[in-house]
Amino acid sequence: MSAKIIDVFLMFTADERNTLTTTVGKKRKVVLSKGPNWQGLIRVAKKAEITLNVYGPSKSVNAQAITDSFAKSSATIIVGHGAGSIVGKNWVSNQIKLSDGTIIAPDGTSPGGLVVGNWEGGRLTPASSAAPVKPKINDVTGLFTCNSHDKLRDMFDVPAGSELVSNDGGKDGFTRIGTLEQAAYEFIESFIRNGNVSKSAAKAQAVFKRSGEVFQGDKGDTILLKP
Amino acid sequence: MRLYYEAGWEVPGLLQAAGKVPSQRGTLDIDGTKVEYESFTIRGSPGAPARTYRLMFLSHGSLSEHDRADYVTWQSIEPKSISVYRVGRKVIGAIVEGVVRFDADPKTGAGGTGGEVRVAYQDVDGSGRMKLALQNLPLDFRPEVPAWAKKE
Repeated sequence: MSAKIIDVFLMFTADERNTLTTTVGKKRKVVLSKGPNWQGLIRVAKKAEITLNVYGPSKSVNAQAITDSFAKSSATIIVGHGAGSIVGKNWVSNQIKLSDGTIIAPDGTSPGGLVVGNWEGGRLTPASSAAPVKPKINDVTGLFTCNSHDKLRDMFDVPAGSELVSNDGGKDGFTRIGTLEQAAYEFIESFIRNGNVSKSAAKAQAVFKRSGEVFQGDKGDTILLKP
Repeated sequence: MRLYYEAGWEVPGLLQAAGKVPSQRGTLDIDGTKVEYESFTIRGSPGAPARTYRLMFLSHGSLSEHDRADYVTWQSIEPKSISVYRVGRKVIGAIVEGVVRFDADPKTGAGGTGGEVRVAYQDVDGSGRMKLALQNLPLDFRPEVPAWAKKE
């Protein structure tokens, strides 16, 4: 495993980023955010002798890409919606959907982990009848999705010494994807500079705080570190 | 107060949103009935507002050891793909995958999208109206073939 590779997977489409709606008279205008300057951050990383690979925005991320990242890089940052539903009063993500499978949280019927197969007609046909296996994460893995804290973090094997960053989504469990992307960006920017997960998590948290001041659903969202 | 979700809601334009050219086609055997499916990707028009509809989430939670409650919340869903299931020419159900799209904050105008959903709809009585059958689908979810669809 290289100590100098960071992979970030932007698992959404660009049109899903945050928006700003303004109304002037009867005219309503919706402006879509362009997202942070990932290309600029790649250059910053290069100067620090770190390879920053940014994949996406795209939902076409396959299982091999994720497992390769865990094996070959020191940090893997996943930015996505998180698939799931509302449980009780708040959103709980229980899957990260891949183009050829899913990583699913444990539940009463499954130990959770990576399921590879074919998505056909909105259904997943597994390639194997074997039970899913939890992917073993690398030094630092970030799950920047809506409420990745309650269930998603349990679908990974977290070796001693590894750090898993998650988001609780606040009271409603939701966090806008643009907010997650910006938080991930500032987390990585800090991590490139100082290699410190806690300090970098604080930078991400500051993004959540700013976002929560303009959008109620992002208010109170909290970055958490496992264990 | 308990709320019982039984009747379902009509989702206007759900199948019309599917378009004409499927991205995927296939056949399943569901309890001895041949069921065909077609999957369609829904793409928005540049500059046009996202197509959304309101989805009701009914979930259960515990208020305490003795009290359970049913929670009802509504979110706007932007469908990204629809898989339509047919027996012959009869549409029996659909699986919709999409994202939660938040209304713009009335004070700041801030908006965006949230979690991904997979929901299944069923035409339970042959009326042509799709009603919500299940949310947060299991990976291997298979639509039921209703009795009306088996009749010649």
